[in-house]
Amino acid sequence: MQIVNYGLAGLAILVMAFNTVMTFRLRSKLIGGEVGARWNVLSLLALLFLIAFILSPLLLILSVPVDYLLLAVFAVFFLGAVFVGLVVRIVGDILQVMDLLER
Amino acid sequence: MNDSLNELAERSGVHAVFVCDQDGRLLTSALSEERYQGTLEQLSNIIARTNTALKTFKHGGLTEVEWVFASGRVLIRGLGNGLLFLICDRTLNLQLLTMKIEEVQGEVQSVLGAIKRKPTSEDLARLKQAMIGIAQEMLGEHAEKVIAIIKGSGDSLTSLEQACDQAEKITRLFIDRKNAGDMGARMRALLEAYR
Repeated sequence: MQIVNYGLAGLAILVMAFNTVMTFRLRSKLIGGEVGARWNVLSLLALLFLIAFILSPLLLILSVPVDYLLLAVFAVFFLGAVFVGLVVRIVGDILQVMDLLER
Repeated sequence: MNDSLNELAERSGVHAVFVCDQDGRLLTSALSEERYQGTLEQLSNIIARTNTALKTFKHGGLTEVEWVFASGRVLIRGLGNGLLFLICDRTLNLQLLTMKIEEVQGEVQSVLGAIKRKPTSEDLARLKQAMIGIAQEMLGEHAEKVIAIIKGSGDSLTSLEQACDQAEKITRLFIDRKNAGDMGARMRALLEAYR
């Protein structure tokens, strides 16, 4: 079970590292505006997730108490919800512009 | 219209040339000195309001005002439905500029003076150019996408109004959320003259 946990943590780090790089690359193409501001928050969250994911194996190595583990889990849930909210808003903005340009 | 304003602003001794409508909304400007940037809107507003108040004297519309300061001079020319401002050095020989000022005045007047008449294709082309000028002035190097929208709009007032909405929305979302509203309002003020 432990190996599976480490394996998943490793995979999560790899995927998140790729996502973070992509996020910052796209950031350089955005000039500003509301989407730019949301993307800035999203980039910071991606970076925060990456750092948290890199540190996550320590939770296993140090056998952190369950209370703290739960705190970490729910913090990830909350930040994940914020992340999804930002993505939804950005997609909404893009659809709005596409609709406007089609008129 | 913007080309002529720019030509005038580029003359030696001229610091700023700008146009506002009768309600004091800044329509377009050409600056050779950035320090005037923040005050144009305020100045336009105050002078237009003063002009409106003075019209109650029943002496007709404002034709010319000249203020001479210790180191500068401000010229205001009435345009019927707007005002043309020129800020320059005090020592500038205005006689040499008279022809150019009158040319600009005529050109601006033809844009502003088109109230209540259907815009011709030339008017629409001028309006497009003025809208592009506003976008360039407010967004600088990032105006590219907005300019493409304006250039790609059809040859009707409705198309230009749609382009204005699109430009404002795209600016707010992707370029500059603070200036988007002002830019849209200035573009709409230009189009308003033809409604």
